[in-house]
Parts: sequence; C-alpha cells; structure tokens
Amino acid sequence: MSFLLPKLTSKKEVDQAIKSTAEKVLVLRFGRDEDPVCLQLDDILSKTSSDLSKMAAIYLVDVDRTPVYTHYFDISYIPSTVFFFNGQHMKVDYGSPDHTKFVGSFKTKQDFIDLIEVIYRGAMRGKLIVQSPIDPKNIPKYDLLYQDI
Amino acid sequence: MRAACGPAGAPNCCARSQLLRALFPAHAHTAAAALAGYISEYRCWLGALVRREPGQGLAQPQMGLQWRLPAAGGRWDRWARSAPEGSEVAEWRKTSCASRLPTPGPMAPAQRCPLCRQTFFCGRGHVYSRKHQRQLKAALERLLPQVEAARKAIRAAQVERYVPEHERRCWCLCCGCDVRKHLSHGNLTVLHGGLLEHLARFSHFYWKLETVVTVFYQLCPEAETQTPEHKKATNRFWWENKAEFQMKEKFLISPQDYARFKKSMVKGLDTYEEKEDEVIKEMAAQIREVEHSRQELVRSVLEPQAVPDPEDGSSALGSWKGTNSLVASTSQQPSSVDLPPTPELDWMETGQPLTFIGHQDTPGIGNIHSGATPPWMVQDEEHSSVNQQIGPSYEEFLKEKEKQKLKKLPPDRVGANFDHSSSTSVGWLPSFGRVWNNGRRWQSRHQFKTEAAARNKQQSHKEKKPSVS
Repeated sequence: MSFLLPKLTSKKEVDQAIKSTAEKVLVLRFGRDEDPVCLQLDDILSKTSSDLSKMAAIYLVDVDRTPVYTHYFDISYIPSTVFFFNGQHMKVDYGSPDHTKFVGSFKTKQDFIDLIEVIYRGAMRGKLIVQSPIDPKNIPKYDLLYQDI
Repeated sequence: MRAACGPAGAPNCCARSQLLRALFPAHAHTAAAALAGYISEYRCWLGALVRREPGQGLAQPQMGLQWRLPAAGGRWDRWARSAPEGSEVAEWRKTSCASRLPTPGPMAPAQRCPLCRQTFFCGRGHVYSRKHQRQLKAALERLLPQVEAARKAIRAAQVERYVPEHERRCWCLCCGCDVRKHLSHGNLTVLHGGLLEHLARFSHFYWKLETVVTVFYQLCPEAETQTPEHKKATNRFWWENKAEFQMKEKFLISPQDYARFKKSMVKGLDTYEEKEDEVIKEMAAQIREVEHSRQELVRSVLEPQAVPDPEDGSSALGSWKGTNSLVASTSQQPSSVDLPPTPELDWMETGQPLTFIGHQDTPGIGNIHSGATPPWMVQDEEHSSVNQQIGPSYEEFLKEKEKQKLKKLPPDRVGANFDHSSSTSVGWLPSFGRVWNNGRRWQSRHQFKTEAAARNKQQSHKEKKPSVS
C-alpha cells in the first residue's frame, strides 16, 4: 500500500515537507516499505489519507536514506510515526515512555483518525503535547532503549 | 294647635317683619342691606358660572350686573391677583366675590415671533413689548441701507461685468424670502436690480389677470389697483408687528419708480457697452504696439546674420546695437562700454580646438528639440520584454484569500509565526523534543549537533587508531 502515499527519500525532501506543510498535521512514517508491520501501517495511512486530507499530510520516509533524521528522532524500531504542525514537533502522551513518536502500527483506522484529530485540535489551541485518545490496549508496548544500555 | 298655627305662620311672620321695620327702622336697614348683599353675591356667582360654562342652560345674567364682574384671568383679575399680600386689594379679593372667580384657563395659544426667535404665550401683547420693538427696529435698520442703495440706483443704474460676488442675496423681512440683490444676465450685472425688482414686483395673481386689469385701467386710469405682492406683504408685516408707519414708505417702490429704473438701466447698458468698446480698442492698440516692437526686434537680430560681416565682432556688435537700441541697450551697454568689444562674438572662431564627435542626429528618433520621448520615460528593454501585468492578478488574489483564511485561525496555535518559505541550509533540523533531553525543544537540536560532532570525532579517531596500530 505504500505506493499510494508520497515518499521522501532524502533529508532535503524531509526538510521541505516539514517546512512547507502549513496549518496541517504532518505525519512522517519512518520505516521500510517491505517491512510487514510497515505494510500494515501504510495500509491504514493510505486508506485514511483522503479522509484526513484537510487535517493531515502523510509522508513515508525511508529510514535508510535519511540517517540524520533517523538519528535525530532516535528511531530504533520501525515503523515509527512522528507528528509535526507548522514546523513544530508535536508530542503525544500515549501512556508509553516515549512521547516523541508512535512506535508500531495502529490497530484500526479509527485510532489513527482520532489521534490526528486530537493533535490538530491541540495544535490549534497552542498545545505542544496532547493526550492520546487511543485505548491503551491498542498501543503496542516496546522497551525504550537508551544509548545501547 | 300646631296644625292650625302652621298655615297661619307665614302671614304672621310677614306681619311681624313689617312691624319690626316700623318699630326699629335702623334694624330694618341692616336686614335690607344684608339681603341686598346676599343677592348681589349670588348674582356675581351666577355670572361667573355663566362665564365658565356658556350655553349650559343657565340664563344669561342681566347686563347691568355683568359689567361689574372682573373677567377671570382678565386685566383686573390679574392685577388683583398680583397685589401684595396684606394690601387692600388682596383683602378685597379674598373677601369679595372676586375670590370665587375661576382661575384663568389655559394660557393663550403659543405664538412664535420670527423676529425675536422666541415663542410667546401672551398673545398679541408681545408685539407691543419693548423687546419686540427693539428687534424690529434693528431688523429694519439692517434692511434699510440696502433698500436705500437700491433707491439710489433708480436714478442711475450701474451695469458692471459679472463677478461671483454679484450672487449675493438679501433677506426681505416683509415677504420672508431670499431675494437676489443684483440682477445678472450672462456676464453683465445690473447693480441692485434684483432687489428693486422685488420691491416693485406685482403679484402673480395680478399677472394672470392681466387682460382684465388692462381693461379696468382703460376704464379708470387713476384707480390705484396695482397692489404689488411686496406691498401687500409689507402692509401685513407693518400691521402684524406694529412698526412705525412713517418707515413703511421707505421700503416700498412705486411702479413709476421701477419704470424709471428700467429706463436708466437701458441707459446704463449703453454706457457700459461704450466703455467696453473703448477698453477693447485700447487693448488692441497696446497689442499692436507690442507686436510692432517685437517685429522690429526680430528684424534687427536677423539683419546681421543675413549680411555676413567681414570685419571683427565690434562692428557687428555696433550695428546690432544700433538697430536694436530700444530693447537691448540696457543689457548690452555696460559690457560694450567696460570691456574691449572683441571677445564678445568671435570666441567660436578663435577658441580652443575641441573634438567634434559628430552630429547626434538619428533619423526616426528625435531629440530634445523635436519633442522626442525623454530617455527616462523610455522603458528599459530588459523590463519591457517581461510582460508585467499592471494591477492585481489572479495568483495574488488567491494568496490574499489564503491570508484571509489564516486570519480566521486562532493566533496562538502551534507554529503560528513559523516562516514556511524561509530558505535553510543543508544542516537544518526541525525543532524536536527528544525523549532523553530536558529543557526547551531547540536545545535538543543543539545537543544533537554537539553529539554528532563528538561522534564524528570518535569515528575519525577509531578509523585512525587501526592505521596507527
């Protein structure tokens, strides 16, 4: 399903996407196209992208081609999803230790839509961190790694 | 006993009073006086009642009695009311029938006096008041000089060239209307014509009945049937405001006077035309003179060029000076007298050798003498090639619409001031709050950069180490 969404293959393109997306939630999915969980997430993203077209711009980023961002965003598991609004990073409290990105795939399309809506509304109210509306059951649990410890 | 005595009581009583009167004449006098007083009081009251409600079924009181009654709210009544407390008049008013008079009714209807610019409730009385008379006098004195000036113009009507100042208007008190002071037609103005015309104007109605009136005139020429509109209004004004009768004549102009004015106006027009002709002739003479002197000047300037002088400039200057002493003498004399005459005209021949760069005469493009477009008005070729549209374009409109849309969004949203179009270097990183970093978000970027620098150093160190070992 990844071919339905625009892809960013270099740091410059990612920069451009972050800078130029205005008044919309920018969704950056870091991962690999052939990864099974990535395929699962891409399916959800591509199917909801048209519904969310006024609220969100969704891009797929290849982890291997943008090492700087992979490093900067501290992506150790794929797929990881990072949200931006007007060039500002949006944090979400998922109930997991990492607020900066959503690791893994959403369980349903509705989960993703809800999350985007909450982020959009929070950003419009000037919030840099929002509370995730997703049921904690549906959020995949991963261990947080800290500098190879 | 009582029943028998009852019917007989009345004659008894009457007889008794007769007896009493015979016995005590003084007592009888007081009784009669009391009776008479009672009757008169009663009649007074009756009269007042009748005054208050006339035609209510009550009989009119006798005439002889009514004249004594002071009218309620009338002059005497007011006088009595205004009497100071404790005075005789006040006592009289309290005790006598006057106290039973009804209080004065509603005030006299409101009347606005246009002269005093005030509303009065005392009816016609106001006209006689000192204030009104003073106002009237002032108003008439304001109008009088203008009328007097107009009256003077009857004998000798002045005609002048029209200037906007002749649009002045004056207010006719009697007719209550604005009147043009002067009569102007085209570029001519008859001074005071408008006011005179108004003062002697016949009524509109009169003009309509012109034929009838002419017939009437023929029948009795002496009859004073001409009642001009203004005269009527003046009469009414004088009557209403009780102005001085002698003054009235000053504000009226008889038809005969007006006819005289018309005649003098014709005369004035003639004299004006004559004067204008004279002025035109004078101007023509002046123009001719100027033209003549100009032609002379031109001729004198052209002559030395037409005849090339073999000798040096002095003789040329002399001839020039001779022919044109009239105009050029003042400007040329000091130089010709003080300086040696030679260097004036031959500087072209004997001057320094200058480089000639050729005649700047491109056919098609004119120069400053032929009225070409000046260079600063000519568009540059680079700019002219770009077809710049003047005025708003559709793209700009869309941009503006976007801006308007953005204005509706909350101003404190995330990244409201973020510059989306800024150009950034390759090393740019977005603001990102990292998991392990505390502090502000931009600090994580700096930390990342320092980390990256340290890592690079380490890597280079590691790469170097094996080569060393």
